[in-house]
Amino acid sequence: MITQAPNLIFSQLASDEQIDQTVQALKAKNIQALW
Amino acid sequence: MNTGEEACDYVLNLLPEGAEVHASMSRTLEQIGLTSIIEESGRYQAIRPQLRKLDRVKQNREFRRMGSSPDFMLGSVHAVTMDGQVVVGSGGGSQIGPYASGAGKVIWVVGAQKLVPTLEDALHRLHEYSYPLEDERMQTAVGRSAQLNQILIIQGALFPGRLNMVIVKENLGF
Repeated sequence: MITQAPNLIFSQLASDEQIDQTVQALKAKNIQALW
Repeated sequence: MNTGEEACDYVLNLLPEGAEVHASMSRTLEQIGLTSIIEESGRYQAIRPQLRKLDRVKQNREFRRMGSSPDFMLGSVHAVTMDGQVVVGSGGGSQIGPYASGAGKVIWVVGAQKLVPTLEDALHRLHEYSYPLEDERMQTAVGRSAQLNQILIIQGALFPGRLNMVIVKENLGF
């Protein structure tokens, strides 16, 4: 039996701008990223 | 990347023929077909099929050593913040050691639904979205609850090129 329903707000795709921002932030921390 | 298929091809191009590759238990890797290619193509030294042959109790030392330091570790994460923090939750922690330092190179495939503004949001995502879905999967697969025992937060890397993330604009994994 499922213990709790998933909070579906966390299933929404990020926008292109948000992905770009994340990729740049990861790179700044030496984590290679692309999309 | 726009599709999981593109991400799968990209990752495969990063793996030399014959490389030692460990794929963590990941719905994302399963969805994009990467797990089956790693384990069944014969092109790589896949770790997981070797682990399945070991007796986890009687060959525990070999089991731990083999799984903890692969040349390439593939997997996913549960959340990435828009300021570049990576969050991974785990029951047994087998992927956490290789991600943190054991693996030579880590390659994560991440659906763009896992991006969140802050670390607080990332932890909420792990507890309120990833865990319930993993719990449901575990209940169905083995009839018991998932355990969220360990949480890894990566907020930087010493060595450029060891940690690599491919973000896919598709809903992948939990």
